Amino acid sequence: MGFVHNNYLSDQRWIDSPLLFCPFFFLRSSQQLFQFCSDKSSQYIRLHNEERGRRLFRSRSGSASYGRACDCGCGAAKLSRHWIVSFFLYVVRRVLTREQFPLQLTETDDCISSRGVAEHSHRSQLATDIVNNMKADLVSFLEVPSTHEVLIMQGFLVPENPSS
Amino acid sequence: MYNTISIWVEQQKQHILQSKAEASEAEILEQLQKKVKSELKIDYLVTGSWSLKASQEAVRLLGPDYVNVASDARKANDGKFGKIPDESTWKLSEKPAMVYLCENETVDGVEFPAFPKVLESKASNDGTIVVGDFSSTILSRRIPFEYFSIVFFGAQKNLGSTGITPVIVRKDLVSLLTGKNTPELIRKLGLPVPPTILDYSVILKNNSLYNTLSMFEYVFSLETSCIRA
Repeated sequence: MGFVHNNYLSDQRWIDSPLLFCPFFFLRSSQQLFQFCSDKSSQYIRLHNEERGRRLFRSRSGSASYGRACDCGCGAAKLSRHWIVSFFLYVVRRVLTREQFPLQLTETDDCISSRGVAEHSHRSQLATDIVNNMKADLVSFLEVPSTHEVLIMQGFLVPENPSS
Repeated sequence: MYNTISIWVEQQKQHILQSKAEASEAEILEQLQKKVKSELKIDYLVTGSWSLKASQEAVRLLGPDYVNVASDARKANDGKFGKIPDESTWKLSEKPAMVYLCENETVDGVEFPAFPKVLESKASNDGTIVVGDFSSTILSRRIPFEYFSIVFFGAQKNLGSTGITPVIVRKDLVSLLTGKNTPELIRKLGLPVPPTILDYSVILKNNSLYNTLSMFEYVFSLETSCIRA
């Protein structure tokens, strides 16, 4: 088994509730189905996923009521009156998120948050650095004198089974 | 055990060459065979289940003639582990190839309070190889490297997960394992030859990267870096 390291960017989910605010994004989206339902005073969007719509209205809109249906009878949820502001905030947020995402991955060593695996050869500099750093730490922690050498072994010694 | 046996054979060979520099290979082999039969002994201080298993494995691999259980704590504690017998009762070999002790027996809760005084002179003056299993003690107390020739510990207790065993060995002992004729000589003497992956000289030569390091070593390195931080 090789040594694995997460070094690939995760897929970012482009399907997001704020997409619903903007008819242009809505029309470009291929993963959700929307319909405009307009009446005299506002525009409505038929939600493919009604759950998203409910969360959307609850978190963003202070004026729109939760789960109010379109007056035309299409069954779609009522859009917030402040969709223009919400759209602007959405664009800003997505831009910032897209820019920050690569930086977050390179600035942290948190392999758990990233996706993907890779095997590094034992001849690579990374493997050498891992072993050397490990040895240096042990020498420091245990005050190992210069007369002794630190070896890292994968198999158990025989006949001494390390106690566990 | 493999490595300590090889080291002992090489040491004896050097003694023979010192006394008779022009000895032929056949003469060296003959004298070594005599020494193996008469002097080769590895001592075990059995104070718990782990040292007991180690001694049993040595008997299995090397044979009962070469293994000496210098102390068995069960004999001094009504058949159970739980005490370390007094050092005066230990039956150590005169010049053992190795003395093994488990510094902390986790199962039975037995720990050596300090390095045994009876072994101090053997370790420092006679050059006896003292091997210590520090799996349960690592990073909790200072290790007297002036007396221990080999210290090893499984990382699973205090420094990571199972699957990795750091070994701290004296450099001059490892240098005795680099002789080209050593495996062949060991075979002729009827002694076990260590697998390559367990040969200290091979591990040292390849900077512990004879093969691809396992993920457990990476976990171990993360642990040590966290401790350092």
